[in-house]
Amino acid sequence: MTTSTARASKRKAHPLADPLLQVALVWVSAFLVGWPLIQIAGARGVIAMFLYVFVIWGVLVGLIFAVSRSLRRSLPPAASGEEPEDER
Amino acid sequence: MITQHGSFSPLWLLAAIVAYVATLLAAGGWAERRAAQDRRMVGQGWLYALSLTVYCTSWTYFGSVGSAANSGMLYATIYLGPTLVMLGSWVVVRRMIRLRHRYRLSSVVDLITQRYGHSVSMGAFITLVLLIGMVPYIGLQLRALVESFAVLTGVEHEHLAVWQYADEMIVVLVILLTCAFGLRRVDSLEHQHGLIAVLAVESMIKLVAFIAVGVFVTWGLFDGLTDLLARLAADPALQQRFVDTPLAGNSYVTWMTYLVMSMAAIIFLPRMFHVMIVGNQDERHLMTAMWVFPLYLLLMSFFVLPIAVGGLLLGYPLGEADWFVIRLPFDRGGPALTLLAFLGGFSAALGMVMVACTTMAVMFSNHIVLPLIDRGLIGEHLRGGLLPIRWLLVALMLTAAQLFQQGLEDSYLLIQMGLISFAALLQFVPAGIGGLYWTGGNKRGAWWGLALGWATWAYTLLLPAVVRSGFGDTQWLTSGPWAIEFLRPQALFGLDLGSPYANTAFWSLLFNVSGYVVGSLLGQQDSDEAAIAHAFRAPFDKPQRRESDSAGKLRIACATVREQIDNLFSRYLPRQEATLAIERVQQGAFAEGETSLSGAAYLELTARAERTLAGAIGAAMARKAASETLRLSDRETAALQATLASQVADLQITPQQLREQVDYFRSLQTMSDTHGQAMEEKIAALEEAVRARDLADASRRESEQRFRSLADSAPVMIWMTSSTHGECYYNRAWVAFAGRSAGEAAREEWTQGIHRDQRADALTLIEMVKAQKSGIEQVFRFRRVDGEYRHLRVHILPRHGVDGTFLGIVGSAVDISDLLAAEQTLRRSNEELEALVGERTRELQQSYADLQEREHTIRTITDSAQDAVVMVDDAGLVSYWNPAAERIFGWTSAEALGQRLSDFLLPGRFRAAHLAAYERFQQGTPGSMLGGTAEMVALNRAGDEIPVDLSLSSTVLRGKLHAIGLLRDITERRLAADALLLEKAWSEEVVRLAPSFIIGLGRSGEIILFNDHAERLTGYAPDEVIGQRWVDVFATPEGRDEDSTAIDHALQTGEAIQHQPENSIVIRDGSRRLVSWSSQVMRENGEVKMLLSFGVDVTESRRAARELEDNYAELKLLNQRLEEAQNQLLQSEKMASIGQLAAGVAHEINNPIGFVSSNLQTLKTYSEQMLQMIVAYQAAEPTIGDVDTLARIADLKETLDLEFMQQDLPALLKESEDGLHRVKKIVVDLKDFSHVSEAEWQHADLNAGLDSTLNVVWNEVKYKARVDKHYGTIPPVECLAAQLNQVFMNLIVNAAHAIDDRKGMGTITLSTGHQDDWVWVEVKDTGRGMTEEVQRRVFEPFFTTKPVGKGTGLGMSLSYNIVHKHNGRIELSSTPGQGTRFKLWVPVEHRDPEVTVMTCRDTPDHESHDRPPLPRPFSRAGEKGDS
Repeated sequence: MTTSTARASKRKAHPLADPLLQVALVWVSAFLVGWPLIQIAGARGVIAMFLYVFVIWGVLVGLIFAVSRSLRRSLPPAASGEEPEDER
Repeated sequence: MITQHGSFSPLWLLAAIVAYVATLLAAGGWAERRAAQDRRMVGQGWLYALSLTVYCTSWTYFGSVGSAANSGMLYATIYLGPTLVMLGSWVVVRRMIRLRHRYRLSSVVDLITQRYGHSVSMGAFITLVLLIGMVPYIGLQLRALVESFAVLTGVEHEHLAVWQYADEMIVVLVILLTCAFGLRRVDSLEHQHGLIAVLAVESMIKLVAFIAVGVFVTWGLFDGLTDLLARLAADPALQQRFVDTPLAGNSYVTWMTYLVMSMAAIIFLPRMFHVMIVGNQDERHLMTAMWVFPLYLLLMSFFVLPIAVGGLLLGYPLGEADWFVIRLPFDRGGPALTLLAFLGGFSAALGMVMVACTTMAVMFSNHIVLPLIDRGLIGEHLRGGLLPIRWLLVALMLTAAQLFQQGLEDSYLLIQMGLISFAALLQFVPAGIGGLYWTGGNKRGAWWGLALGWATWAYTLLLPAVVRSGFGDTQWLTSGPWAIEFLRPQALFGLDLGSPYANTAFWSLLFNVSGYVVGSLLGQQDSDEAAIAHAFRAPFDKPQRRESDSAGKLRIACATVREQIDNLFSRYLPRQEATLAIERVQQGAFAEGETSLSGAAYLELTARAERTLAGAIGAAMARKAASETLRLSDRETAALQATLASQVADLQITPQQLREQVDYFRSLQTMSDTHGQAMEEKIAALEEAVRARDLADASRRESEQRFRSLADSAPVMIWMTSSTHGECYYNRAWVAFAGRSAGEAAREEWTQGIHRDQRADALTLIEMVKAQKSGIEQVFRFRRVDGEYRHLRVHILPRHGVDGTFLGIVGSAVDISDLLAAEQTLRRSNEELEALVGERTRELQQSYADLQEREHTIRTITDSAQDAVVMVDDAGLVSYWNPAAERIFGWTSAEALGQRLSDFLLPGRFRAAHLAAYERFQQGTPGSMLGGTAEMVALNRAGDEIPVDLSLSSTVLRGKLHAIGLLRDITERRLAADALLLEKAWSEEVVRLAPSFIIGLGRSGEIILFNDHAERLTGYAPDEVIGQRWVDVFATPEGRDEDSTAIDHALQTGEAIQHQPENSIVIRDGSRRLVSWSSQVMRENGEVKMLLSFGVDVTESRRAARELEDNYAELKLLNQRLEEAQNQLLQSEKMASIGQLAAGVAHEINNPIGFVSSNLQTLKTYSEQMLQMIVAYQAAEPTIGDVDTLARIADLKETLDLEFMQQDLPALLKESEDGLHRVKKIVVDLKDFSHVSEAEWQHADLNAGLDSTLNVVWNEVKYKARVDKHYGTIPPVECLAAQLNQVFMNLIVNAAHAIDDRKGMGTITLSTGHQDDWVWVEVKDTGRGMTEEVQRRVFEPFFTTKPVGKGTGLGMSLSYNIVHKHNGRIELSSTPGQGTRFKLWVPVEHRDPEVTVMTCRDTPDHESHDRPPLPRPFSRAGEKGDS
């Protein structure tokens, strides 16, 4: 199996480990906690904004945890001090 | 702890800080010691993640609440930005971590300078800018420490000199901690285990503290988050503040600006770069940190708004919002929570200050101090003292920060310093992030971008903050420099985004990016920078090796190289660290026996040395130092240059192109060489492996054959398996055990026969064998051919090929089931034997203990006995004398023991007999007394004889016969017996002479006692009845059974007879006597001995009493009847008197009414005539000529109102005449009602009687009821009219009283009629009605339902008697709540009395009134009245 084929296979098994998807998620998250959605939430008062921000925040933390787990599973176990394989 | 002002004691609080710092020191020291012992820390990923929380400074801990109070949710952006970065951290941050490891980057400045040509000046510039931004920021943290200390202690108001230096004390403490953990070594890339551990502890403290405060405010001061938010919602002003202030207008620009700034800060803040990039030891740790850190930020941020809202709702001023976190617990919580909150803030500030100072000191020393040394501006000797220099820098920075915060206090600059610093860090983004991905970015672009960005930042943000802090003219801000509004710092070029930070971010990034791009496009990269740019672009590629000797035949002496490297490191590092670094660099560089290095090896070695040194002094300075120190000689340089020059000339390209080509081809060649070499090695290895395998296979086959031969003949089970899961071999013993053929067995795994509970163990065993490469033995249970599981001791060995590959296992097994069973039986026998021995031993011990216990018990009993216990030995001497003997006889134990008993205890007259008897006793003749009790006398100490009971027994002690005597003093018993005899005689005499009938019955009911009085009463002599059963002699025939049962019961149960107090007996002459009894059961020793009965003859007295009672009852009845008759008579006479009085009054009134009536007729005639006369005079008035007369007549007519008088006078006379008629009628009615003159039987019209009666009682009726009359045509009735009228009156008045006037007017219906020879009169009302009980008793004398005093209860009784006198009857029907109907029937002609009352319990409209009267009533309620 070639290196590129192996990478493709891993990405398929662990989609959240894909760097491109991670970058896309950053943009989506920035959209969720940025203008204009935050203005829509703020228009309903500070309580609505409080709830909105922390719900989204909690979702983000969960998402990052999932990414972390996906990355961990996608990497081979490394010996002490060994750097992980490139996942570009 | 708490002073009288309610504050914390400064000394106490300082002690708490010291204790906390000591805890941190201990944690850090522990981590360092473990690291020194090369022991890995557990959970390093978590430690790494927690160290990132140094991002949460006191600005977060205290300031975020203030920010929330002022700007609502805007504070959240500072923590949301890092969350977004961590989401993408595997892409960006990991790239930086990889570069840090490759180039040994020690700071963010190193990252920039490494990427952009190792520019020393750029490093110095960036360091200075960061220093400008960081020192106030550190000052802000110190201020938080000092302010929180002051809040809790009130030290500013204490005026105690020593506490005025609390700030300085804290600063010194921080300096020591920073140097101890942050700056332990020169090489800042050495992992700082202690610092990371301290940061982790601090992170937990501040998180716990902040959440504790949040929970306290939310649930302690309010009723939870819902309550808090509801109150916020109910306070429009407060909500308006949160919503409008930060979010109005284009405030979302501010939101996004903060978000972007915080994203930049989390990477480029020096302290964050230090912990996140430099501090990372394993890229995998990032996978933990990427979610732990955002979760931490979420938790830290959640209670910010509730605390802010809570403080404001509780009335705290907005200006104090920064201190709500400690103010609220301090004012309303307990000291523990307050202290925790304080330590949380302390941790937040301390962590930031420690890391920030560490990184700034490293940067400052590497990028400013060392260049200055290199330029000779400061002493060369300082070069080797980098560590002390850094300590000094830390002290200076903290001192400067302290002075800064003291000088600026609450200035705008200090308060806003956090965000100002964030905006400064934003300038790293183009060069920093651009440098990672754009290889075209170069040093010039970075310079331009950074310079323009920071210049814009300084102009638009830093300078305005300085001016607002009181350093300059604010006019400059509002009107712009030189009054050019276009250049106003916070609305540069006329653009005002509503927030100074948004303005700065926009313009500075615009200029920065523009400068970076334009500068990069205009500038040129040298080869070194280009190579690094490519390496930054692709950090995950393996680094190129410079194996190939492109430098031709050039050789450099190893000694020279060693000396150069030694010089290089010795210049900057302490001796010890330098030695270690040199060893690390040279490791593997010099081949053994070689004296020179190739050019390529030399270049590789110098690069490695440079990278190692970069960890200590930074990349730029390391490059500079390496280039200065690692130099070739002129000859070597010339040779290298010549070689390169010739190659370049051959290639006909420029030097720059050459460098690129060289690098390119170097990499290609390296890859090719490496690949080729690897392939050759693999091929050779494969060929060797094939040869070895062939040999090994042949050898193995031969070996296996030998093995099988041996195995089949072995008495144990042997097998061999293959790792390729091919066929297995099992020897004959195994095949016989398993009951399979050799072929079947060969296709099975040997583990299949193992009991399923152990099968997993077998598989584990196999894995262990594989890993250990040695044999293992274990016992398994295998299924034999007969199905029985046998214990086999299995020994398995791994089989390995010559190349070390695992081939399978060889196993052997021995059936040890029988051995195990034998062992088990033996073990069980041993256990049983041991148990038996133990049991016997215990029994013996128990027996001995029982014996001792029994002896002790016996001695205790004899010592505590009330009787004397005396033991005499075979010589007749006393050998035991108990305390009771001492008490009874007066001789002490010491006096009695050893004495001859007969000498002091026996009276002289018995001594000879005693001695003779004792002699017989010694000879074995027991004697009559032994074992029995005898009464005798003994002497006491005083010589008096006392009676005793002697119980004698014997025992053998140590083979000799002893006599034991138990002597009881019976003096008192003798006296009591005498007294009892006397008492018995006296009792018998009393019984005999008693004046009562006393008999005693034995257990069978026979008479055993019969006293003299009984004899006299019954006529029987005692001899005649003693021994006979009582019931046979005295019981009456009808009472015999009852008496027998009672006596038997008493004698059997011992309970006294519960019989009738009196019963009859039959005496000798056959007559009966009534006797009153009392009895008692007599017992002896708990058993019933006798039933003793005392009787009194009450025959005569009871007869007299009964006669008296009968007489009394008759008298009482007579008296009652007499009283009733008297009352009725009184009532009747009263009514008759009233009637006579009314008749008399009517008669007397009749005469005056007669002449008044006559006169009124005459007056009427006269008045008519006079009116005619007046009319005539009026007609003649016109003829009167005298005016005066006419006037007087006119006045009189007007005054007297003659016209009205003429009309009214006839009417008055008419009314008077009507009144007289009514009076006449009343008088007639009274006379008719009373019928005074008609006391004899006469015929009367009952309708007229009803009317006259109604008129008489009209006053009682008219306000309560309407009267309906339904009179029929009835014949005159022969009656006593006055009495019947009285009946009518009673019925009508009762009917009126029965009507409840609260329900309005009722109705009384009077009806009459006749049937055959009977006339009936009915009075019906719509009143309350009567219950059945009332209906039954209504005719009883004195029965009334009216209140006391309102009725006599005789009216209806009297009416009943009147009707009875007329031989009539009364029918009564009533329903409670609906009304009552009385209907009386009287015969038209008088006949004999017979009155009947019929009660109809249905409705008042019962049809019974249409029915002729019956000769007998349905029920004769009235009869009760008769009785």
